[in-house]
Parts: sequence; structure tokens; C-alpha cells
Amino acid sequence: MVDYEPSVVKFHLYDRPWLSLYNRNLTLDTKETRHDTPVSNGPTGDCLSDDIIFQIFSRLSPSDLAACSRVCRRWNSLSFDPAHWKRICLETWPSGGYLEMLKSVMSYGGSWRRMFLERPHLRFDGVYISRHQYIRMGLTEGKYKQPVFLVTYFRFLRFYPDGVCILLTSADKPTLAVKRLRRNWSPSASERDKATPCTGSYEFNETTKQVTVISSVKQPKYPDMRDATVVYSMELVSTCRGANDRLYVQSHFSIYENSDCPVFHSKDKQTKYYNFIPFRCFQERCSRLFPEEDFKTE
Amino acid sequence: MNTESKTVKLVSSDNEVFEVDTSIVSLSETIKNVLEDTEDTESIPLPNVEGRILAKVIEYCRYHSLLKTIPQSEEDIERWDREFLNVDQPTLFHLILAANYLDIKSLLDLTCKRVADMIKGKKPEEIRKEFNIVNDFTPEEEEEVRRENAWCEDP
Repeated sequence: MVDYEPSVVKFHLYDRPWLSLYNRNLTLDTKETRHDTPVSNGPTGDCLSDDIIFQIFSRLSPSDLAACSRVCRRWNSLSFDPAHWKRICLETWPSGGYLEMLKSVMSYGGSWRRMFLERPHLRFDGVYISRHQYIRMGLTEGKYKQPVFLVTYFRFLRFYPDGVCILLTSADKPTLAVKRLRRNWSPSASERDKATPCTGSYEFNETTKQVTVISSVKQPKYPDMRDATVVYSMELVSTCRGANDRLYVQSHFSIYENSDCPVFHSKDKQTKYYNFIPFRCFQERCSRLFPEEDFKTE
Repeated sequence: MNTESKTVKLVSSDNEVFEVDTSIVSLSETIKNVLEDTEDTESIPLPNVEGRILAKVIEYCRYHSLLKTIPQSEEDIERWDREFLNVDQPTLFHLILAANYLDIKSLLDLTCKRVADMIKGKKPEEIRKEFNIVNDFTPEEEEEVRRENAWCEDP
């Protein structure tokens, strides 16, 4: 018997009057043309085998891996490979020791990924930033109007996995100041008259989510400023699962040189917390967080 | 040590023939195995590797096997590798596939690291564009994975 019904009809004209006799509905097959475009430029991400994608993913930071999981279905399922999240967990909690980590992952149902997302931790792939603003009165001599200045400055905190942190207070925009937030930073010619970042240490208590930062502060540039030791006590908070993106300042005090008495600094009412900004898409995040600032000029 | 001076012919998928020292190409585990299995191999067909890619791979093997006799500083090797990988994206992908097929671990490492660097800091849409990948999520799934990964995206 002859099969009169073709599975795909490839006529490019709808008008086949005789077919109406059979009550047949024709659909124009456009599949061919649609599929041509993405495959035409030689190899695509699809031609890389799962093994190779694994190799590539094993070199990515958690947030880059998260971006990859949103690319397509295949990359999504490959991004869940526990090997990657195990590596990331070992990088995030380097002091834990392997046995300790194995015990810990058990309390997250044995999932390394869940552990990374649910166990509180400070983030190392960016900086915590808070913006401070105040109004300063200008001089009024011989003038009607009194000029006022809106002074803006930022406080930066960057953490490293080994207990070291870098503190910086600067009026520079985050996109500019971030270059100085490195451990091995040494001033370039244009940076010589800028505030120097301070290297301190921190402790993080996972159960209370309490961060304590201690650093000695020295600014050779400002001879009037007394050397001091500053102490911050903060609480780590996540705005969504796994974010760990806010540090609420609970207390902040300094102990100045030749003095035993700590001086407590009043809490800044407008900026109670530090916001985390990851290095990836740094400029874009900055302009989203501080929409009034202009980051485009650099 | 009689293998030192021996040469072998490598035949690419487009029938280009490369005559090379066996000591150079034994950086490739695949070729090494073939050479060990069959004593008097004259030519090895490599139907998965194009001629222009094979030329690059041989260039890589030549430099890196030369390092055994003439050591270079870390920076020099790094610079050479960086120069070597200064290629367009299709070539890079072909190199990965060739390194995988020929089982050259150091070249696979190097090329994968290069791809990882291309991904770094990019948004999903930019990665798709860079690697020519079609977004096959349904809108619901896309929203779901976006929510799942909210921690690294919008504050």
C-alpha cells in the first residue's frame, strides 16, 4: 500500500487547491531556515563535550558558575556537578580541614552546593562598600546666600580567606578606589597623594554571624591624624539565599595612640550597613547601588 | 633511545601531511600509545583534526618539548603560551577538541583556562553570544534559574 501522507510537507506555497478535497491543512516548514543561523559560524559552545565543559567550569568562581547555569539547559545541569561546589566550599572555608568539611556538608543533606548557599560566609569575590554623606556649611562673608557642600565619601572593606582584611576610607568613587584594595598595593604615580588602605584582621562567628574587624590605622599623608587601632563589630545578613551581601555595623570604636580609653563613634544614621559589590560587572553594580553618582566618566 | 631521531607522518582530516619527530609528538598520549603499540608506524591518520589546527598543535608540542633541553623562565613560557593562544574563537574551540582527542593535558589545561577567562564577569546573555549558544529555557524555567541564582545577580 502506498502511503499518501508525507510526514513533512515542504511546499512553499499554501495554495494547493486539490488538497482541499482531502481536508488537509498545510503548514509551511520553516524549521530548516530557523536552525541555520546559530550553527553557521563554525563550532559553538554546544560542540564542547561534557568533559571539556567540566574542565572549564572547574576554573570558575561561584558567581561565574552561577552565570553559566543560566545560559542553557545543558550548562545548567552541568553546573550542578558536586565536584565544582566541593572545590568552591573548600576555597570558601579553607581553614576548616577536610574531615571537618565532610562533617559539615552532612548537615546540608550532603549537598556541597546547598552548603555554599546556606552556610553563612563572608564573600571574597568583591568588596563591601558603604556610602556616607554630610552637609558642610560654606563661608558666608559678604554674601547673601550661604553655600553648602554635600560631602560624599565611601568606606570599603575587602576580606581574604586567610583572615586578612583591607580597610579604606576615601572620597574617590568605588570604581577608582577598588584598584587600591589589594594586598600587594603600592601607590602608582597618580595615587601617591591618596589615602592609604590599611591591612587588618577579622574574625567571623558563623553561629552569631558576627564579624569583628581590627586594624591599626596610619595615614602618613595626614600628619595631624593620630595613629589608632579601630574595631568594628558587624552582623552579616543575606538579602536572598546565599547572598551574604550586607554588613550591619553594630559598634565602631577607636583606641588612639598613647591612650587606653576607647572612643566610640556614633552610628551613621543614613548608612547603617555595608553593601556587597562583586568584582564582576563592578561599574554596573555601583551605578545601580548609588544611582546619583556618575561612574561613566572613568 | 633509538626513537629520538625517528619521524612519523601525521595526516590531518583534509589530507595534509606533517612529518615530525616522534619525540615532539609524544607529548600527545594518543600518538604515544599508537607509536608504542605498532613498532614501525609510518603515518598516523588523524581524521578529527584539520590541517591548520594540527599545525598549531605541532607548534605547541615543538616548543614545549624543546623546554626539556633548553629551560626557559616561567614568564617566558607564559608569554609564549599567551601569544600562542592569541587566536579567534573557532580556532580556540578546535584546539580544545584537538587537545582532547590527542590527549595533550597541558594544552587542554591551557585552552580551557583561556575559555574560563572568556566567561569571567560576563552575564548569561553575553556568554550565549560569545559562544553562540541558543537559550533553550522556557520563560518559566528561565525565571526559575534566575531566582535560584539571585544571590549573585541583582542586589
